[in-house]
Amino acid sequence: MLVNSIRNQLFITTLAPLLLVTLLVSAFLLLESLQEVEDQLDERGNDIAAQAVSMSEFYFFTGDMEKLSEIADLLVKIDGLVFIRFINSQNQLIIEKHKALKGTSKTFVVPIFSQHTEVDDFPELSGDLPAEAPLGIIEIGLSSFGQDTKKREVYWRVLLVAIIAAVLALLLAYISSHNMTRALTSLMSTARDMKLKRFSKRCAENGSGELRELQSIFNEMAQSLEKNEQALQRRIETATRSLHNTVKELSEKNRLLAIQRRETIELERSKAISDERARIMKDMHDGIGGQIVASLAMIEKEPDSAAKQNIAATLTECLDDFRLIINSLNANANSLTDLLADFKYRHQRKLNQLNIELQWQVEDSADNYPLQPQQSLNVLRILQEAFTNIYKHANANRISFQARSVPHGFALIVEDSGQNFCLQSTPFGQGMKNMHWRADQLGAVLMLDKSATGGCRITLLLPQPL
Amino acid sequence: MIRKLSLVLAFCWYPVFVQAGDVHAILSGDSLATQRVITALESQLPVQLVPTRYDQHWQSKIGPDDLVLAIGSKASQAVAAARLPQPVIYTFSEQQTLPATQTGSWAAVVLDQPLSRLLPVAASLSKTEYRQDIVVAVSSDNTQTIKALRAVKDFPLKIVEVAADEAAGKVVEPYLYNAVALVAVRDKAIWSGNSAKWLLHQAYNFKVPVVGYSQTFLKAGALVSVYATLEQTIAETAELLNYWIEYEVLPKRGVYYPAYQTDVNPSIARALKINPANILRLQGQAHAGQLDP
Repeated sequence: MLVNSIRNQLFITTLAPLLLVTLLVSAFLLLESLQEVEDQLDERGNDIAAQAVSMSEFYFFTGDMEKLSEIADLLVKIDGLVFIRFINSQNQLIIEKHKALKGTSKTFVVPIFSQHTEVDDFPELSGDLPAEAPLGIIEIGLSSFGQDTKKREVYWRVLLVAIIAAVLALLLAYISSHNMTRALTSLMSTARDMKLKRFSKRCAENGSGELRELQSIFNEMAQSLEKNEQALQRRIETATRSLHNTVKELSEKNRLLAIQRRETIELERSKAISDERARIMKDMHDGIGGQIVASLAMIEKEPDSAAKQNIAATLTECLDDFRLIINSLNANANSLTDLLADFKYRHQRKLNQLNIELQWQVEDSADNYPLQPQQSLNVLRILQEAFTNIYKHANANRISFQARSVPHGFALIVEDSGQNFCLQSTPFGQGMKNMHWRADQLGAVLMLDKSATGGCRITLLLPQPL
Repeated sequence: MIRKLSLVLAFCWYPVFVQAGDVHAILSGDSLATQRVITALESQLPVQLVPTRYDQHWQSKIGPDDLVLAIGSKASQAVAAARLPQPVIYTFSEQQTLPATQTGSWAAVVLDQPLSRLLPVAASLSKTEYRQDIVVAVSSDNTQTIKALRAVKDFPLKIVEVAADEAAGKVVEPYLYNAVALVAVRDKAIWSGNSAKWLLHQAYNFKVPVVGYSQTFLKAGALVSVYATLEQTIAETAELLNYWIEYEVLPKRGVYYPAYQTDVNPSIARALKINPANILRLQGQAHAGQLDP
C-alpha cells in the first residue's frame, strides 16, 4: 500500500541509502569514538608508565628501595591510578601501592631496561654496541571508570548525531521526493480523472524540464481526447435517435402487419363461413326452397278455397321468410338501402291488403352504411317485428318509416298512426325482448315511445359502421 | 684478441701497480656505516680498497708494498697488535686504544678531540663567583690523558681521577658545585654506558654545562660539543691515503685530528639559561684540522 505511490517509492528510494549511510557513518563514528576513548586510556596509561619508568629507572639501577617507594607513593596519587607495582629483574614484587577506586581497571605492563647513553658518533665502526639489560617491570592499573563515563557520553552523542542525521535525511528525502514527484502526482491525478471520463480536467504544469514538457503533451492529448469524446457523443446521439426512429417505424409496421394478419385471418374465417353459408344456402335454396315452390305450385293448381288461400298464403310467407334467411346468409355485405328496399318490397303487398299507407323516407347516406349478413338479419327481424306488431295491434292506417344519419350513427324510425301499443307490455313481451336482444347484438339502441300522431314510435340507433 | 689487449693494458699500468701497492682495509664490522665509509673513501681515491674483517685471515693477503688501513677501534687494536712492517693508517680510532709505543710507519685519524679545542670552549662559558672551575673526569689508569691535562696551565682545570671501582657520577659530584663546565675527554671508563648517562644526569642536576666531543653528546644532554663529522674524518683519512699512493710514504708518523665543528643544544642552553650571545659565539667556533703530535 505504501509503495503504490510514486512519491512514496521515490521517498523510500531516496531515504533508504541516506539512512544506510547515516547508519554506517554513525557506526563508524561510534567505533572511532570508542576507539578514541580506548586510545586515550591507553595513551594516558602509557604516559604514566613512561613517567614511572623515567622516575624509577635510576633507582631500579641502583636498587634504592626507599626512593622507589617514594616514587610509588607519588605516582599512586595520580588521578585514576588504581595501583602501581615494581617488579625487579628476578620477577619479584618489590613495591606495590593501591588506591580504592570505582569501576574496573586496565593494567599496563612496562619493562624497564638499562638504557645506556651513547656518546660516540660511530659506535658501529668500533664494532662494540652496548646491549640493553633488563632492570625490572612496572605494572600500573588505571581505572576505566572515567572511560566508562566517556563511553556513555559517546553513545549518547553518537545517538544524538544519528537521530539528527536521520531526521535531516528524512526531511531531505521528503523535500526531494516531493519536488520530484509533484509533477508526476499532478499527472497521475489528471490521468485518474481521464480514466473516470472527466476529459475536461487538465494537469497543472508545475514541473520543470522534461516533466513540464510531458505535462504539456499530456494536456494536449487530454484536449484531443475531449474533442474526440464530444464528437463521439454527438455521433452516438445521432445514431441513437436514428435507431429509435427505426425501432418506432418497425413497431408501427409490426402493428400494421399484425392488423393485416388479423384481417387476413378474419377474412379467411369469413370466407370459410361464407363458403359454408353459400353451401347451406344452396342446399336450402335447392332443397327446401324448391319444395316450398313446388308445394305452392301444387296448391295453385287446386281448386280455389279458403284452405287453399290460407295454405298458399302461408307457403308464400314461408317462401318470403325463407328468402329473407337466404339473403341473410349471403356472404356479400348488403347495404342498408338494399336491405330496406327489399324489406319494403316484401311488405308492400301486405300493406296493400291491410290498406295501410306507407310513407318511406331513406337518405342516400344509407348506401354508405354496410351491413354484415347477420346484422342484416337482425335489422330485418327488428323491422319485421315492428311492422308485424303494427299490423296486428295498432290498427293504423299509416306507417311512417325514416332512415337518416344522426351524429354517431344511423337512425331507423318507425311510426304508426294507430293506437299506442308500445306502452302495453303484455301483448308483446317476448317479441319486444327479442327486439332488444337483437339491438344489443347490433350494438344499437332501441327506443319505444309515443309518436306525434299518438301512435307508437320505434327508434333503432345503429352505431357507426365498423 | 682479448688476451692480447689485456696484456698490453697490464704492461701500461705496471708502474702504477708497482708504485702504490694495494690498500687493505681492515674492518671492525660489516655495518652499513662501515660500508658507507669504504664507499666514501673509494670515491676519493684512485684505487679500490681491499676490505677484510679484523677477525678474518687478513695478514696473509698483505704484500710488502701494501698499505693497511684499520677502520674502527677493534680493527685498530688488531692491526696495532700485529706490528706489521707495512705502513698503517688508523682511522675512526680512539687515541687511548693505540699502543703507546709503535714502530714503523703509521698515522692515526682519531675520534678524540684535543684539549686545545675543548678547553677554550669551556672557558668561554660565563663564570660566576662560585663557578669557575673546568672539571675534567678521567679514569685513573688513563695516564696519557692525565699527563696531557696536567700539562695544561692556561685554564682552571679540576682533574677528577676516577678509580675503576668507583661511580664517576658520585666521584665528580662534589666538584660540580664550583664547576663552570664539565669537559668530556674520550675515556671509555668514564664516558660510556650508564656512567656517561649518570654523569650527564648529575651535571644537569647541578646546572653545570657539559662540553662533549661528539655530535651524540648533544643529544645525550651536553650543552656544546666539539666534534668531527663522518665526512670530515673520511676526508682527513683520504688525504693521508692519497699522499701515500702518490709518494709511497706517509707524511708524518703520529695522530691527526680532522677538521671539526662546534654545535650547541639550544634546549639545554635554555634550560641552563645560557646567554644567547654565548651560544652564537660557541656555534661560530670551528677550526681546520690540525696536527697534534
